[in-house]
Amino acid sequence: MNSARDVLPFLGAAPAPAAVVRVAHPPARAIAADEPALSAAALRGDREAWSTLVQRHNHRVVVALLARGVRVDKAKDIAQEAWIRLVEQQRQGRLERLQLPGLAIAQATFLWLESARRETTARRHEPIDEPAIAAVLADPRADAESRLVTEERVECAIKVLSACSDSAKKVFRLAYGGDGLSHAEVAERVGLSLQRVRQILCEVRAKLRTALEGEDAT
Amino acid sequence: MSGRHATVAELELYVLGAIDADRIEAFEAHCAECDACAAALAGEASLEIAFEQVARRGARVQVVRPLRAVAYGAAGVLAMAAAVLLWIGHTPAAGAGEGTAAASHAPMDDGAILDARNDALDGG
Repeated sequence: MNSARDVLPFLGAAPAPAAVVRVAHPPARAIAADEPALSAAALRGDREAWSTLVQRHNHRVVVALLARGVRVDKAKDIAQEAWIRLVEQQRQGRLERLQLPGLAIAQATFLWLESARRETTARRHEPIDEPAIAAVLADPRADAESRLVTEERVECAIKVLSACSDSAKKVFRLAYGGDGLSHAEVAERVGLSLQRVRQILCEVRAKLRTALEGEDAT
Repeated sequence: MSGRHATVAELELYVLGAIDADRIEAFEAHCAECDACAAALAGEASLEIAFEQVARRGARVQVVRPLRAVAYGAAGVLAMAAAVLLWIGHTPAAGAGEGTAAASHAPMDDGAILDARNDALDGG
């Protein structure tokens, strides 16, 4: 366990912004340009690659846990443990593919469910969410998060998004497309300042927030 | 309990990974202890994940409902084109054998499909 911590000494530090990758002709698919190479290097056991990937994706793993109601201190601990487990799995040759942040989120979700089960067992007699645990165990790569948000809420938000300006939609899509682009990279792609990108994101978020919370109340 | 309550702006910035570096520690320490702020942070994080689902599924929904896009004239035509492209792109099995192999060696085609899908979202 400690050996893996040596590989990831920066764990627990504040989320650092990913480096901006400059590309002359942005690829059509919105994915951080060096992600495939980093994943391949990490699968070979490259420490630097692991470090970069953890810095890039750790915050997203923590957010996934927060969304499930995990306290921030515990969420950071679980996220850290999840990365350590992934590194260990790689070292034991049990990691064939590395899709991030999905795999780290699945690992963290599993650890959280495991600890919740232990706590419940300690308290006894309280029902636990067996189907959720079974689903994670059955397919750790499945989108366990989709259950967090109802179809109605997403539909409603999609309508609101479609009413936004084209540039706002583009920024939103790049930032939330799930391909690990940092806000700085999004800014690079659309040719706007980082501040303007965050401003646009906040505007879109505010609109979607109203829509989603309105749907909640019904 | 340590520190003051988190503001809505701080909760949002934290989830976005953009909160002031010198505020993070106090913010996290407080949210770890305060039920109200922890709940607010959970809500904000939950929204963040909803946004991801909206971004990923938004384009798909536009294509599933081409009739709505048609009302916007030229934009509708684009959406229809995107629907066809998407349909082609999503049924590699129809081409079988060599067709699938060709597609997998043609990243530019994939890009074109994604562009068309993106245009459809912009147009709708």
